[in-house]
Amino acid sequence: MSTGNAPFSWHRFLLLARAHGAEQYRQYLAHMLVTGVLYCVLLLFALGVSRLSAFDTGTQSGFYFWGLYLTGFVFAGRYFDAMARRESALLALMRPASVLEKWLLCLLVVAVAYPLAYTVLFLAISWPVQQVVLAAQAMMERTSSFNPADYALFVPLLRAPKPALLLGPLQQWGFFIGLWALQALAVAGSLYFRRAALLKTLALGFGLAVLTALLCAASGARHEVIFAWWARRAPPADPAVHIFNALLWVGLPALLWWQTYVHLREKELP
Amino acid sequence: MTKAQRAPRKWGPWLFAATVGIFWLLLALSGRGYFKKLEQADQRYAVKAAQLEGVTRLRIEGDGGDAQGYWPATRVLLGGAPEVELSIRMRPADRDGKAASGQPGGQPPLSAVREGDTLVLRWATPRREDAGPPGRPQAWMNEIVLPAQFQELALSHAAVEARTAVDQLQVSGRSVTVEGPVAHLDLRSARCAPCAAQQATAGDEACPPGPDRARRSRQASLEVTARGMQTVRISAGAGEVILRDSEGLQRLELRLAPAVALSVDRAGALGLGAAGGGHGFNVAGPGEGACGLAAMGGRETVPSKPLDLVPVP
Repeated sequence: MSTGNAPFSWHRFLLLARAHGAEQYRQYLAHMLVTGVLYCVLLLFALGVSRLSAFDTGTQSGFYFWGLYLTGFVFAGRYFDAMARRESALLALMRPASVLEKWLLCLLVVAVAYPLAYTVLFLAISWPVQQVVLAAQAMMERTSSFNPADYALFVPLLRAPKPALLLGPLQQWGFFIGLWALQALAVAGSLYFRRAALLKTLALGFGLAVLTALLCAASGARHEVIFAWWARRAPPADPAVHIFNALLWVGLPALLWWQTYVHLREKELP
Repeated sequence: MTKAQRAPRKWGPWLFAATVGIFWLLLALSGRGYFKKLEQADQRYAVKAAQLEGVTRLRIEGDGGDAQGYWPATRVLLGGAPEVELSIRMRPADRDGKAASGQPGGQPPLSAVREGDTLVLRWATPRREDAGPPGRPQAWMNEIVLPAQFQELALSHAAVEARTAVDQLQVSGRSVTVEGPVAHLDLRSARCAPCAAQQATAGDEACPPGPDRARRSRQASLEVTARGMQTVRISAGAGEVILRDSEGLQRLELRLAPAVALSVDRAGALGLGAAGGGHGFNVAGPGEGACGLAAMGGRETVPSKPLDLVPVP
């Protein structure tokens, strides 16, 4: 329910954020706890079967982005969980804030705060594990090709000691934009579908991914154009390529987030 | 129900459909001919048939050895072309400005010379690991098409495919696969012995110094798909040897060091010995004729005659 005439008020926004935090912090803590436990189990398995070798910087970056995409999608899909439940939907809808304020808070929590919190959790677990792996490798592999630089801690958006073998910061930005688009899809799905929204959104996304792959094959889509901004090679000077990439990597994620705004507005009580 | 009482139209699904439509339209547009110029094009050169009279051997010098990391295999197509055609792939320029264009002035990154009956293709610059990021060569030969007259090939990493029937073929290399209708194949590993057992010296390309040379020696492999072949002889002192589709094979001669890993498609292949009796399986060592690159390189010196590499559009 919208209150007042102004579409945005800092005072109302802060009150909304405070109320949201007070209500949801337990759920968010539980989400981070589950994420941390899952990462620890994955590490135990991966390091166990690989004799402590599957923790080079490239593998860490793989763990980071796979985890971020999976848990980020689930987190985004559950942000408006209260609206999906009959008993809490009315309360959520009647919160004294405008649609823009609710949408902005969602954007801030889902697309900014969650990746930051996930990164802190990832580093908090990875750093001690890296120290253990380094010590163990130094003891076990004294005569072989062990190089500590290969096991440097992966810190997102920082240049790695061996950049040629890893995703550069630029490519990582591409991954983050992809994450934001995926999160927007999850939020929109949770607002549009009434029951089993996350599952339905996942099914819809899978169907669209298959159709997209078929379309790419049929039209001969060129990765040199689609990923021109994120490729290791310098992008061509052709303005058409930059317009194309701006539409694809800025325009479409913005459209998806705008769509979540439209869904939220349509869900509001008149 | 009057028009005023009707529920407001939902725009969300339409906006989503429009977003997906724009996404698909953009993907389809990326396949348009306008963007074809962005594709990584190979540099193509040819050595004309008139310069190849009497040439039956090929040697490529300066290719990445085992001292380097990943090295793409060259696809070698034997037969079906009157002249030698080279296709060279350049690594595109990095964002940090490390360009990988050819030589200044658009010159090809390798030269072609004739030494007697041998065509020698020589990379213009030393192809060391420090020429680019580790494990990533600046340029490599993606494909080479040879006339059927070539009977001896000495190269590093290659996938050789005979497109027409060939009577005799000898191939020497570090990592080589051979397939096609070659009646008599002689395949030799350029690796003479496991590096781990050698006293490697710094700068020795065949056996790089360092703790991981034993691991890299295992990467040397010879692989033969023997369909359409009559006799096969394989000599190797290190790495692994793989034999497939040996049903029609009449004779198989293996001269392998004890450390070489061997894989055959059927046990009966090991019984295809010399003159139809016994077996041609020798584990004492690669024997005479192995270490092909060294053997070819050790021939008596003959005068070199530069050949023209003609750019092919």
